[in-house]
Amino acid sequence: VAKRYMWVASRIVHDTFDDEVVVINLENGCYYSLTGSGPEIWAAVGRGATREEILAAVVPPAAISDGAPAVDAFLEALIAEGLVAADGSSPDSVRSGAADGPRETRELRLPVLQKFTDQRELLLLDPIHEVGELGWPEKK
Amino acid sequence: LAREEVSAGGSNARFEASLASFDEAASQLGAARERQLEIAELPVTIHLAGPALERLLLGSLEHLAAAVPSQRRPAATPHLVVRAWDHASTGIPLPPVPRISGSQRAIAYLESGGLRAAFNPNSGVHSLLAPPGRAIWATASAAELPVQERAAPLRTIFQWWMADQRRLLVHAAAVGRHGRGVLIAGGEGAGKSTTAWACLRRGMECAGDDYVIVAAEPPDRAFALYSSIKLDPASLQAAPDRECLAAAVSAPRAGIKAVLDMGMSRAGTVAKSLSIDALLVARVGRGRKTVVRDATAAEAFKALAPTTLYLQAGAREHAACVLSSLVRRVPCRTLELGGDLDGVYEAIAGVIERVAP
Repeated sequence: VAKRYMWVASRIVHDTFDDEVVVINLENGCYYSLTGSGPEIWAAVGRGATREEILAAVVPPAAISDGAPAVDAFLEALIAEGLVAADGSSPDSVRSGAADGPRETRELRLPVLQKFTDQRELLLLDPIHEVGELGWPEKK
Repeated sequence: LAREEVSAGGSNARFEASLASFDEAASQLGAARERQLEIAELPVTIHLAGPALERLLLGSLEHLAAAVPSQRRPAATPHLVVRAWDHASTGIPLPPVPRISGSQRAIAYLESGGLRAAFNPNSGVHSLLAPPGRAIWATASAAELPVQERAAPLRTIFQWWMADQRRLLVHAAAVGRHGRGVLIAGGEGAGKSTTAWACLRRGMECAGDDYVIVAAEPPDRAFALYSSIKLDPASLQAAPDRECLAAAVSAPRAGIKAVLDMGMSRAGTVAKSLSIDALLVARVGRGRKTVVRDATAAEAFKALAPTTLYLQAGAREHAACVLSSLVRRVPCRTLELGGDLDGVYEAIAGVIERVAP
C-alpha cells in the first residue's frame, strides 16, 4: 500500500498563479509560496498522487538521486505545516496522480517552499473558532 | 473545528427572542433611535436602543447618512436592518454566550439554518445576522467599548452582509482623486494608514485607511465604510492637519494608535467610492524616497488575501475567489514607502496618472 497525498482542504485556501502557488493556512495564521517545481507537486497532491507518481511527474529519471530527496523534504514540510496529509490506506492502483509520464529531457527543477508569518499576530489576536448549536446555549 | 449537529429551529428561535427583547426594552425606554445610512449604494437602517451607543457606534459611519426622504425621493426599503443595544444602559439582556473549549480569546462563530452568529470575548461584542438582512449587535457596556470597535463598528455584521450583496469587505485602504483611485493592500504595519494620511493631507479623496468594500465583479470599485483613520504618533507629528487632529476620537497611547475622523479634515475628503485603477502592495522602506515597482498578481494576492481572510468569520472561500479575480484584473505595483510623506503622495498621484484608462 502506497501513501497517497492530499490537501487538508478544510484548513486551507489556495490559488495558482503563473509559476507560483499561494496557500493560506486559516488556522495557524501563516501563508506560503510554492515555486520551482512546487506548483506541479501541489497539483499532483490535489489529484491524490503517491510519492512515486509525484516523482514521475516532476523529476527526470536521470536526476532521481538529486530530485527525490528534495521532493521528499518538500512533502514532509507541507505535512509539517498542516497543508497536506498522507493517507496510507489507499491502494496505489486506485488512480494515477501523475500528470504526464517521465520527462527524459526536462531539467531538474527543485521545489521551493517559502513561509510567511507576518500576519500571524492578526489571527492570534482574534482567533476564530467555529462552534455548533451544542456550544451555544439557549436563552433561559 | 467543533462542528456538531445543528438545528435551524434553535438558531431562529434565539434570534427571534433577541429581537423581541430589543423591541420590548426599546419601547420601555421610548422609541429606538433610527438612522438611515447608504453603504456601498445600499440602504441600511440602524435602530439604537437608548442614547449611549449613538456617538460611539455611529461616529465613523455618520458620513454615510442617507439623504432625507422627500416626496420626489421617498425612503428606500433597507437591505439591512441592524438593532443595537448595550446592556448597561438599557437593561436588555444579551444573547447567550457560547461555550468554547480551549482558547478563552477565540471568537465563537456559528453558522446554522441561515443564521450567522459570533461572540468576540476580546471586545465583548455579539453579532447576529439572519436572512433577509436582519441583524443584532449587542455589548455589555457602551462605556467599555474598545477603541478598535469604535473605529470600525459593526464590522462582523457588515462582513457577512456584504458577501450576500456581491461585495466584499477587504482589509485595505483606498485613495484617489476625481473618483479614480488605487487600492492599497498590506497587513498590519505595512503602512496603509500612513499612506492614506499622506494623501489626505495633500487634498486627495480617501475611502478608508483599513477597511473598504469592493465590488465582487467589474467594474472594480472601492466603497467607503468608516471615516476613522488610525495613526501612530510619528505620522501625527508630520505636518498634521490641525482640524482633523483637534477632533481626534482617541489620543495615542503606548502601543495604541490615535483614531481620527477623516471627515473633520480640511484638506482631503472621504470619498463615497473610487474606481480601482491599480492595486498597490504597501511595505515600509528604509529610505526617504518612495519607490514604485511592478508587482505580480501573486504578490498582490499575498498582500490582500491572508489579512482579509484572517479577519473574516465564514465565507472565506468566497472571499478568496473575489480577491483572486481582482488581482488578475487590475495592474499591480509594489509601493516601497519612504519616510517623506509628500513623496508618498506624489508616488501615488503618479500611479493614478499613469494607469488612467
